Amino acid sequence: MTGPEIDAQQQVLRYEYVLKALSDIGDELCRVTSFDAQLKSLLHLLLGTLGVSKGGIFIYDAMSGSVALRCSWKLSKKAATCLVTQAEAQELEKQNDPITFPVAEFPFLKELTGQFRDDDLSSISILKVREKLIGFLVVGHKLKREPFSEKEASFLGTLSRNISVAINNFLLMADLRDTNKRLDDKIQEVSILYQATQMIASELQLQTLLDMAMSATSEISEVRRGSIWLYDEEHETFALRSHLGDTTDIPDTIQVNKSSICRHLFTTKEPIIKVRDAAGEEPLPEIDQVVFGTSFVIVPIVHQGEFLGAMHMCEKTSGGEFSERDQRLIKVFAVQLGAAVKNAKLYEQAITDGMTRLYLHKYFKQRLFDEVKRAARFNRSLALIMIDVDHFKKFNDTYGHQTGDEVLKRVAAIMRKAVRTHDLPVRYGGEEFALVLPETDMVGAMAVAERVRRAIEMDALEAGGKTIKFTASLGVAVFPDSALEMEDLIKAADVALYKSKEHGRNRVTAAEQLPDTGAEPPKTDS
Amino acid sequence: MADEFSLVHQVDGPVLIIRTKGYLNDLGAEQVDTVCSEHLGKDVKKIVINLEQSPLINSIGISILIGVIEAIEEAGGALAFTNLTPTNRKTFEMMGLLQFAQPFDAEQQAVSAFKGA
Repeated sequence: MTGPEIDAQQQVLRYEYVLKALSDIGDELCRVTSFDAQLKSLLHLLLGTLGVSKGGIFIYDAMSGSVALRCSWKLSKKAATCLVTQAEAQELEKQNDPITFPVAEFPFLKELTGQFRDDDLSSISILKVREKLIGFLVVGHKLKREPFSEKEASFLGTLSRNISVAINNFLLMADLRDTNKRLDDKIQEVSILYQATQMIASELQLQTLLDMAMSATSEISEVRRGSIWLYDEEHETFALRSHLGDTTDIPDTIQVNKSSICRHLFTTKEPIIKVRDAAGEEPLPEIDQVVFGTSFVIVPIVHQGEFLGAMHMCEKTSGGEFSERDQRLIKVFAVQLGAAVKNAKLYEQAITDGMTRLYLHKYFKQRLFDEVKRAARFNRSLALIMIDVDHFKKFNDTYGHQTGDEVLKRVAAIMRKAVRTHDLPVRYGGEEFALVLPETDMVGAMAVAERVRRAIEMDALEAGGKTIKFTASLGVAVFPDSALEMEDLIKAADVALYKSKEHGRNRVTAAEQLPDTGAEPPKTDS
Repeated sequence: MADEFSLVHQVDGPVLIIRTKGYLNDLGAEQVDTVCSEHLGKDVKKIVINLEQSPLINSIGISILIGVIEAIEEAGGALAFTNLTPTNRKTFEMMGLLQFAQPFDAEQQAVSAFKGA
């Protein structure tokens, strides 16, 4: 081959090589790697195509106006920044042809290029996509330090433009990925909140509501320990109503004036977020440390300005602190909980006796009816205990109505302590009470009745300098052993109660069993 | 599909021998530069790079090899490439790499030449 033919062949090879590089730039965009890894690959592609030993890519941040070295190969410094004024940025963005300059002749970024004096850089190219400045590309010399030919300078310009597009596309995709991730996170948050809120929105039984809320918040914020407290206005205390985790050392009530946290919550109605070992903070009173821990979130439960209580969480299962996301979700949930608690309390007021806080007679009848139906349907036992304070009229006459009321409250408190969540303690009449115990047979009911009787017998009141004792008589009837219908069950328990009175009071009597006719108890439709 | 790049190296007297495996077409190839830099400071001035198991070398690989050439030039050393495919040999010639490094058909030839010199 002749000299010119060899040159032509070399040129073709050179063009093929550059085209391959352009194709490789496109391939890089499709790789799922980090921005920095992609930049490095693009830089190597360019340096290898031109036959240059060193170079770097600077990225421009429009928000801050700064230009920073983002990746480099064989440069003397791995980090460098400088600022570009808005006027300079606008001028650079208008620059279209040429976009590549010898470093010494480039009128901008003198301070920056000065930092790389030792690298003896040959060219700097403006990286931009349409009118948007992306950054700059600097390259050193070829191996023999020959200057770039016209074609090589043209290659550099073409490659720079392609690299600009690649960088811009990558930044756009990264932005899109970030936005998608934020959106996914938000959707997840909303979904969690929606489910939790749906769960509590229609629950009118206050205790069930609070237990559900505790369970929901523990899932929302992934905690091992928590508590829900309701504010008792009459006694100015916080009463523990639901909890998660070990509560061995936790009191059932806290006086507001003995706890700085309770006081803060009540007066400000603002949440408290405590980070473990936060510097400069005064240590909490012991009661607060024991109850709430050293790192926690507590949000008030408020409805239309009325302070109802507080929800507390500590000890994340991850062992870390509560994130902003945790705090946000808990606060939003607490708002929903406020409305639900208010509704449940109103409902409770409607169906409970104000003095004893037991359920009212009307509600008792409705519930007992449902429970008898349920027991019949599923072939289960249901116990009814009737309780009557002994000599109550004489009590009132001797000690006064206030003392009489106090006795009733004591009996009610004993009954509340004796029951499980689904049992129903009732104020049946003046000094008459009832206990409905689903899923309880005669043996179990008699045990409960005896416990209640003994607790009442062991209790005492102080009034007018005297210690006053009181007792109660109890009658126990069980479905289906003693009766198969609601009214018959009440009657059977009443008869048993009467027998307790007749046989000396302060005792428990079981109702008689129905004769065994072999007949199945009636099943109801619902 | 690109093979995962790896290399093995050994020092035979004054000569560092690097045998690459896999394509020199991504950042994995920077290992060549790392190994060379580590040894150039320690009594090694002659490097043989056996590219038999790296038939595909694109401009990323070329860029890394140019970096190795510069470092050897600065150290006053010598570099040889062995087992180049015909395509890669043409590319290396076109990019001027063979003005700074000798091509050999086999690794042993390069090592003997460097030991003898």
